[in-house]
Amino acid sequence: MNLDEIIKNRLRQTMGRMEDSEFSEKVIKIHSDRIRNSNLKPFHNFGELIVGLISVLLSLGFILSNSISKIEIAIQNERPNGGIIALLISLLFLAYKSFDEFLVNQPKKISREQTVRSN
Amino acid sequence: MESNLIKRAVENDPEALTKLIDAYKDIAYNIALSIVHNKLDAQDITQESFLKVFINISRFRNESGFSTWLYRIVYNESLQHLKKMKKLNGLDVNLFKNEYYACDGKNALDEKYLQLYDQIDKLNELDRSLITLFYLAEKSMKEISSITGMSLANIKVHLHRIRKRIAQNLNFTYES
Repeated sequence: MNLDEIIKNRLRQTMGRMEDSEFSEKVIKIHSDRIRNSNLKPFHNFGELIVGLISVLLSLGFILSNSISKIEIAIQNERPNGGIIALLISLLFLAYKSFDEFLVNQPKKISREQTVRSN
Repeated sequence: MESNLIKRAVENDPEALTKLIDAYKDIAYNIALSIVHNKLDAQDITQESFLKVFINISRFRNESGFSTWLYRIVYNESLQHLKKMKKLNGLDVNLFKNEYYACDGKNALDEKYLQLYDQIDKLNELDRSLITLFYLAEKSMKEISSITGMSLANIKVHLHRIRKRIAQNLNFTYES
């Protein structure tokens, strides 16, 4: 028997064993809880929600300031209203992200049978 | 077989997750134990590594093998834990040496076993993790390189030195 085999055999014979007999169950339970908790969040990416909302607010502000200046200078209908376009883009972005989040939040395919088996 | 288990694990099938855990938990635990030298910490690291793997399993592309991926996470988590422990507590990890490779009563009486453990115990964390990956996890040097981030040549040199040192101390003739 060469040294490699001696080391391998001796390590294998006395390797540390997981003493927690419920280790697998614990890991699966924590994993399931984490998935469930993440599904409860309204937005997975909170940053995108903030960006979307700020865009909407800026667009509204732009529209408002634009319409005021139009009244003041009385040049209505002489240039395209960029605020409305920005608002539409922002709303489209938010709608797309909401749809995206909706898809992510769909429950995973865990059958009742699988849940019972895991318990 | 394993790819089927992974497909089912992506769908969060508890049976597939259990099978994956049962297949790899002991080796993963030993890799962590070889680095952190503490049973409870090794168990926590193994648990957290499995959780990381499962949460990202949909991204797994089967390029390196499931166990190699898992062991890489265990290895990195263990090193991070060790750094944190040394940094926070200034703790001497050698305090836990007696917990490592705890063997049952029958083997404990065997002088040869004790000598080997003594030799392994004298190795540093890196060398211990290398022999655990090589002998226990039965990973190739290429896979160990992928897990540890070390070069292939470096791993060869380390393993050669470890074998040589153990052989010398056990009065065993070793030829590379």
